[in-house]
Amino acid sequence: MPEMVRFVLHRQFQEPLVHLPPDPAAHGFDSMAESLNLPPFLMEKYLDAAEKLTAREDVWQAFIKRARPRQQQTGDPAETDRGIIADVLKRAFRRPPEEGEVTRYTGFYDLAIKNGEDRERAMAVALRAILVAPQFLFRLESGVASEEKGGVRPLTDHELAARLSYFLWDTIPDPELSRAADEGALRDPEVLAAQARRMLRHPRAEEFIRDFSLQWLRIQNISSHAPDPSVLGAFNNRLKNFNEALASEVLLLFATVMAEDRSVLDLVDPDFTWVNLTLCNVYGIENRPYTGVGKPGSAEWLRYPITDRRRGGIITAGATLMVNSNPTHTNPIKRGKWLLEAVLGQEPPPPLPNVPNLEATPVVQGGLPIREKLAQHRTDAACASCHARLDPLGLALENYDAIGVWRDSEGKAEIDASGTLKDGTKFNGPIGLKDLLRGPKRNEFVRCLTEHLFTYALGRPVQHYDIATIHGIVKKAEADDNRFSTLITEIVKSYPFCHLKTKPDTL
Amino acid sequence: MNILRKRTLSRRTLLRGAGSMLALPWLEIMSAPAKAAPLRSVFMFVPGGVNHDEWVPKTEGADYEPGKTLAALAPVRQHVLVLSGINARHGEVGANGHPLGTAPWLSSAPLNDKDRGGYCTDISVDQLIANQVGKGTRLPSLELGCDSDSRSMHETNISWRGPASPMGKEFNPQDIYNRLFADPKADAYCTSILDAVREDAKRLSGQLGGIDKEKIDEYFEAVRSIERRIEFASRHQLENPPEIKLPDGVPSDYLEHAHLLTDLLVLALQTDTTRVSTFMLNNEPGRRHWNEIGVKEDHHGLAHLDPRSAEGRDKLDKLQRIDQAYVEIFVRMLQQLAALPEGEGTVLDHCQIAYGSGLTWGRLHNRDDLPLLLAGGGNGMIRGGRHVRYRGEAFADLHLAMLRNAGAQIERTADSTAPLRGLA
Repeated sequence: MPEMVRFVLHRQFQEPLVHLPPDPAAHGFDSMAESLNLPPFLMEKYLDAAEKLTAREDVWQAFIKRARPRQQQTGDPAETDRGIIADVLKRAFRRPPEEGEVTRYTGFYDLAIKNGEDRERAMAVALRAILVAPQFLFRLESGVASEEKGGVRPLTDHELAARLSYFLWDTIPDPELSRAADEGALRDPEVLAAQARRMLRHPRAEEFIRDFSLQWLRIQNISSHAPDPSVLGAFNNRLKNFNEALASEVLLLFATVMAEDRSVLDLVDPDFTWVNLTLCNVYGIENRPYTGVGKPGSAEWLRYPITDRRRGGIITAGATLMVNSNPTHTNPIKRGKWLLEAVLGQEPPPPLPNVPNLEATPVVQGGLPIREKLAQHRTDAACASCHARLDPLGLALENYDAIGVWRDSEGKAEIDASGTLKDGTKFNGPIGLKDLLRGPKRNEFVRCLTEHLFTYALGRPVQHYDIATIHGIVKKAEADDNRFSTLITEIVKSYPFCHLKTKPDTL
Repeated sequence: MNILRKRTLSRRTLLRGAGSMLALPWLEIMSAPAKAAPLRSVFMFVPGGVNHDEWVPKTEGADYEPGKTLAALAPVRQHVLVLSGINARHGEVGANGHPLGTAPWLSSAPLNDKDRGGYCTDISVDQLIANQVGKGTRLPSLELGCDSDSRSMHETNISWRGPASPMGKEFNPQDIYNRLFADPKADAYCTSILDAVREDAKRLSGQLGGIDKEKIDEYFEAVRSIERRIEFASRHQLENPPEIKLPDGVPSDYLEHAHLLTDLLVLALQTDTTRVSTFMLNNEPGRRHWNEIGVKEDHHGLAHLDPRSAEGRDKLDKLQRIDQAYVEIFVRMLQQLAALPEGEGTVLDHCQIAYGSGLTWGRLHNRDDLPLLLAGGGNGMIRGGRHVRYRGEAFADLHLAMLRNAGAQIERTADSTAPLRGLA
């Protein structure tokens, strides 16, 4: 909502007008239609926000000062004002308003004038109504029923524009995208792809980087992760900077791959990374690029070439390594599960009820190193079915401690990071894993990323009937060196993105 | 004779009128309340099950011997009924236990296809009660919670208007106060705005299908409920809103936050602003680190330890301390309610407050022998100070008993067979 208000009114607020609760999530993302509900108390907050917003004189003066000269002047000032309201309706509803809608909402202007309000206040009353209208609060795809065939219909141009804009900018379409929709050009796949490319190059795409990548990598709550002081060591007093630095590295990597339109495989195994002083310390980068510049925790970032592939990329980033650890020690099961879900796209089934859980078990307590403890655990057939997939993946990252610092041994035991995948593929440690993801397993990674992007873009989970589409997107991407923009434009041009199922799935 | 028409007499009027001729039967008129105090229903939820070994008292009856955790009930023992041996949907185990311990807690809904997530949701008992009694108060029901982390809706909601439609919950103390005691925005424009958007929603609902239609219908219902609130408030002006000192924003200290929310809940019940409330002391699966009581590990992680292992045995004690910390928040609230006179008794006498978790052991994700407490006098329908051991009765039987106590004429809910016996 704050984002939408910003775009409708061209105004951003430092202080929140009302406190909105965080959106609930499903399927790993908080943009899923099924989990975005509107209980009465939330509706009250929207009403409250609209009232507070339109009561702000400064907001109105600025808004009207901007809107009036743009509106074609007629002899009748009320007609001009109604024109402004109709324009706002179009932006707010993300489509041309129907005639009845214009009458309904300009009606508030007329009512206020009749009550003796001045023109500015009267306009504010109309805007207050628009800001709580269902067409503004919900992204409705009500479309053209006559185009429906077999429970599916193509999206209208304006619906497509909204889907695209929420995918890449997390807000309503800008004038250029709206114009393309007005002209009826967006249903041409090439026009649509060109718009997507333009939007990826726009600074607003930062919303997408932040929103998508933090949720995809399950690090959106990193700021509340508090490793034990015994693990944090020298970073103990700078936890906030520490967590932020770790998350920023990943965001910068994602942004670079996007900005330079690199292969998405660089997300896993890039030849560069971004570091600040905190990260130099975590990663033990000896040849510090900072000589006498900045202080620990400084916000200064430098692009640093990777010569040692133990660093760089999402699987060996401090952020993901730390979040998938316990406060006091590493947790190979969590890391393995994360690799399966976020990188390889093989969701492990949840643990069976009544299976003892190793979580929160200190590594060497009880005399056994974690590797042996897990091996023991896998002698139980019920555990083995899943843990044969989880454990070898997570154990391959045991050289990174609970905040991502490299270590060769734990206690007295040297770390053995070798592993075998369920299909028999053998590998050794993080570099071995990266070789797999660059090589024979690269399509699995690209498919996994595509599925996450697809879920995020459509606000619904991937269904069985999407599988062929996703396979096609991965093939097209591969033919173009897995370039980031190709992946995005293929998703945008895909049948599920451009169509709407008008009948619900039957279970 | 005029004064006799009044149902209740002040002592001074009576003494002046009747002088020394006062006889005993007059006293009855004097003490009879105008009408019985309304029954309030509250449901308090804790995540992740409990250390069950330390929860269930070893003996039954009025002289039961509490384990470590329920020893914390001592100051309010006579007001609390300990219920054990109650099962939620015995024999039905879902793969993912934590949503299963949350979303259907107050409905006992079976796994169904009405909810897209495949989890079980249906209208919850608090909302069934609110539908019955909510029209008589400023707020039909109040949903509160301490943890505002963004998580799956099936792990963050116990109150549901219907399948897949959660009530959500408030966590900001100032917002809760405003919702309870500030006048709902009801200027002339607001009323016509609500009117217009409601009409738009109705019109759109006819054009939409699937999930979009569900959302619009939900919007329509939200607008209707706000209209009802505004209408109610216009007929019942609140002259002196209660005063309470509240911080800006949400306190970072968990206990301070939880205590503030219980203070507000007590205020809401005392002033009869609402008669129905749910309060999630935390979301499932309960990932808090209880540093306040020296527990560094997260609750969920601890709950999953196998007590047969050496580490597990070591950590069971920490689990018990967390359970106790939650119970202490509950005890503090009961003490407040017991200190507020109302009619012949206290506000607590006119409450039925269920407390517990949707899981038994977090580790097992099981729902047999749930940890449950029932506090308050329930307007004479609950007699506390006892431990009652049941033999596998359905949790829905307790829902049904509470529904009937609240005056709802509902035959049965979910897998209930009869209202739970033995509460009084």
